[in-house]
Amino acid sequence: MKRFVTVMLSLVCAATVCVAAVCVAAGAADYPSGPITYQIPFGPGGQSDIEARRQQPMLEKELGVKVVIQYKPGGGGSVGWASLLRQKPDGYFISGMNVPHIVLQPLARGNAGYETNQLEPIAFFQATPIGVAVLIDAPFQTLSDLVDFAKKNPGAVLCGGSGTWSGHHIAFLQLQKLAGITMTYIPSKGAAASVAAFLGGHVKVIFGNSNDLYQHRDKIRVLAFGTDKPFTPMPDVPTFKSLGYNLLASIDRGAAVPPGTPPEVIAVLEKAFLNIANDPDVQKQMLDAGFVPVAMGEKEAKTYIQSKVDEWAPVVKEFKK
Amino acid sequence: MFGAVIAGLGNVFQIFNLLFLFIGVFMGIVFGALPGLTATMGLALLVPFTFTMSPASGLIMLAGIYVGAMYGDAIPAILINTPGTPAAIATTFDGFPLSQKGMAQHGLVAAAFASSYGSFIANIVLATAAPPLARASLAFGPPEYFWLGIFGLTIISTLSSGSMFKGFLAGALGLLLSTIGMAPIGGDVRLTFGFPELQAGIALIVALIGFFCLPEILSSVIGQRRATYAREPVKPRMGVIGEVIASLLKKPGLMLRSSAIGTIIGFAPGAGGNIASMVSYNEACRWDRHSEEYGKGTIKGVAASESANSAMAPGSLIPLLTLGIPGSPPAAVILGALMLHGMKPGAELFTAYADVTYAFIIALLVAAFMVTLIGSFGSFLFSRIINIPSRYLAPGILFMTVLGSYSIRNNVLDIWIMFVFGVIGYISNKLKFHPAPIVLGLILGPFVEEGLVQSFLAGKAAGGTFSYMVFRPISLVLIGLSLMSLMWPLAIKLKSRWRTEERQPINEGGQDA
Amino acid sequence: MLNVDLIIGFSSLVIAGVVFLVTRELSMLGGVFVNYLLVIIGVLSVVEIFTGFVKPDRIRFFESANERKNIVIGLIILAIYLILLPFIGFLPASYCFYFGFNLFLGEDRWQTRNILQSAGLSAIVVTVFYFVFSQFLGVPLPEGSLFQ
Repeated sequence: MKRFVTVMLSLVCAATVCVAAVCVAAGAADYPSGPITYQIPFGPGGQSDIEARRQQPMLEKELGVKVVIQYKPGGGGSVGWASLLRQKPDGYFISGMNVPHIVLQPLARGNAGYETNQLEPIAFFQATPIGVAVLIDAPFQTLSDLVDFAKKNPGAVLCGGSGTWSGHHIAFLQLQKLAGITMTYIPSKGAAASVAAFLGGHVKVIFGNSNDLYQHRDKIRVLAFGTDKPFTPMPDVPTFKSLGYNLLASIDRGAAVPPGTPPEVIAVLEKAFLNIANDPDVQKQMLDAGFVPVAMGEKEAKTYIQSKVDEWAPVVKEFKK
Repeated sequence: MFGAVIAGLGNVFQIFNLLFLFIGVFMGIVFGALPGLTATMGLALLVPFTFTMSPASGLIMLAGIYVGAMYGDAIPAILINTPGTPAAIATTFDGFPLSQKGMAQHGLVAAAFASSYGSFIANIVLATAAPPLARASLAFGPPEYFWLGIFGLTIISTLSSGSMFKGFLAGALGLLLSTIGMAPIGGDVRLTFGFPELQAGIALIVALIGFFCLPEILSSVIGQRRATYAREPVKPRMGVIGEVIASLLKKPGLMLRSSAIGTIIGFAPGAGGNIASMVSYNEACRWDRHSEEYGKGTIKGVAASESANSAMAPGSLIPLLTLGIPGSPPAAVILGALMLHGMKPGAELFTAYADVTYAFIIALLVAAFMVTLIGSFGSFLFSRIINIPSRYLAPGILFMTVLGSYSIRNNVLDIWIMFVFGVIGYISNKLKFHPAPIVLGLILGPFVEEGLVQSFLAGKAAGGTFSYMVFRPISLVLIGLSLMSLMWPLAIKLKSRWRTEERQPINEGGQDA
Repeated sequence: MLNVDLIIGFSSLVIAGVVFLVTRELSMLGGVFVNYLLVIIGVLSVVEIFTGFVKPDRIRFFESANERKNIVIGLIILAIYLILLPFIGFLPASYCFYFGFNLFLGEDRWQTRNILQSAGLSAIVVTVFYFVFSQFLGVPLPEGSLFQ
């Protein structure tokens, strides 16, 4: 009897190990033939997460496979992008991608764990213009009011935004330079925290994302947006360009794959993302929430990223000293 | 509003929704209980499932998860000295000694009931006073966060009843650990020693497992080869449930104070429940006539900690529902879920979507009751876990902590950090240098630093950092509390020494005469 | 007998020193908090060292040679597990670990019956948790670089 139990136990062990090993092994055939991991280089609940969740069922339909969302937060996204480089370039691992983060982090940090041109873009699908706003009871009615005040009181105007060497910070630095003024930048950790600091009156001016500004539009006055043409959900707000400041500022969201991914694979992914981006339902949802829908394919995305690198490299160099 | 409340009640008490709520609470307890999994992760995983349901049902399920997780983290805290989430650290102080004495079931029932109590009180506050409280929550600016962090650190003076210097040194080392990674202001990358993963800093849960769970296993199971985890086996009885609940109900002061602390700290956006439970524990110890019982295994300590950390959850939802500003990571996920269902936070939630919103709030209340139910009856099953001989239990726990540490950030380095902290924690315990202040420093470091540096920047522009940081209403209150918290143990020591000195002359006088 | 206060004091001083050297190139904003902390740690370490000379607390670290042997072996098993993990993958490494640790903690290690019981338990416990985490909860676990 004891012998029988011993033998059965050994067989059960062996069987379990075999079954587990088989399940773990991946299959390889036509792309895509297995689940795809969609990494979000931020924590859950953020804007990148919300977009990814909106796309997830549509991606599964387009590609015909399961799409698993995974979080790898840290360093403002840099930990996720650094880890993307170490994944196999077979198209089964993609990551969210954010500009200006992927441009500014390697420029400003020396060693962010990755280089901008190492991330292979698939597409861009969303833009969040950055705007400058004050509370509705503030004495500034237009951007020039603010600039005049700042000229007479250098350093006295407290501006909030999310992060250092982020889109908000760069917009702040560029505005200072273009308008010839000095203000004080007080960064917060994340967009939500910066909005809380602003609404609580701890900073007088905020460099904020269009969706946050749109959400609180009844309590604030937006002085300008960093877009080419006026921001569709809030068309009365002037653009920096129309006020004479050559300042374009927005946070763009897209997706990327590790370097060396075969072009046929990227093409399949690009088609799926662009189909979703061009879906009128999706576009309406984005505009309702205060985002700008965008549909940029792989080649356009590459050119766009390079143009941003060219634009910001001298700015970072100048302000970093 | 009344009509919406009734509609909300109707929504919740439908069979399917109650079932979803139950499943949510159960899943929440599981996620809270497994170290390495968090309420945030649980919510994030279940949000896609909720798409297929109506907004009300989906939110009801999420409510269940959030409330369940606030109790779940007490289970490993009590059984294996490992807080399931950072909010349960204070639960280990009395919870683990309780289970060592064979009273694990008492601890689990106390935790369940206290969680429900705290949840309940905080939800009533949420439902009735949300908008004015939200405005108060916005008043927390950089100086307030700084002083809140300092206040949290002064708890060290009570925790380390032995040597205060060692305690504060540990706290300072913890603060130093918290600087690893990106500076909150300035973006400098600090102390990463070449590891790009460390840009994100030290993961709190990894530190918890390393400093709380591993040293216990190392010292008793491995070092002393103890056959079972606890010194006494646990013998669960039905009667325990009634006894514990009755004895806690007889202490309304303790329960209400702890729940209040949790609610208030909960709605300071970002401060979170990590320190609510410790502040509550500290205050419970301070105001109790028999304060020497704390730390040796009393259900009062567990109740103080758990009611506060459960009250924190609805508190963090106040700024979320009224202003759309999430007060904690789980709240951020709930915000995402709301947005995906097209419900934008703000006045709209209480008008156009009022029936769904109140369904959510009432679901939070009902979930609180379910926690007591599941927790009390589950205590029979859970408490028996530590009766399993340690040669089966310990490898399982270690394996699970490795799994948990990896799954936080998908990072092998985190597992090594856990190992190193485990060794340091073991050495530290041997040197009578309790690791809790180190973890406290690690948790509070970001608040203290961000508050300090932001205040510098703002103070420079406002003409004086000192006056900027001190002369504000909330800051003054926090500074006062910090001073009191710091001085209190000293005052007590001096008072008792003075009393014994006073008695002696009388005795001698008596003898002479 | 080890002097607790001296050990704590000197270790903290060393840590503070190392951190000081490594952080000299931080910007003003990034470094201000670190500098304050280093000062505080420095002062408290000196106080500890002082206490170590004046009113020391002494302890015996390991209560017996047995205890030391157990701890060392236990840590080695754990370390081997962590080293093997990225190479042979999560599942195989965990099986080995549970198996080995279970045997180490038990009595009569080398009896066939106990060895097989260990192997069986390890297979069941590890596999169940693996499936719960990776399939049900969708948490990706290391595959093992040897196999890729």
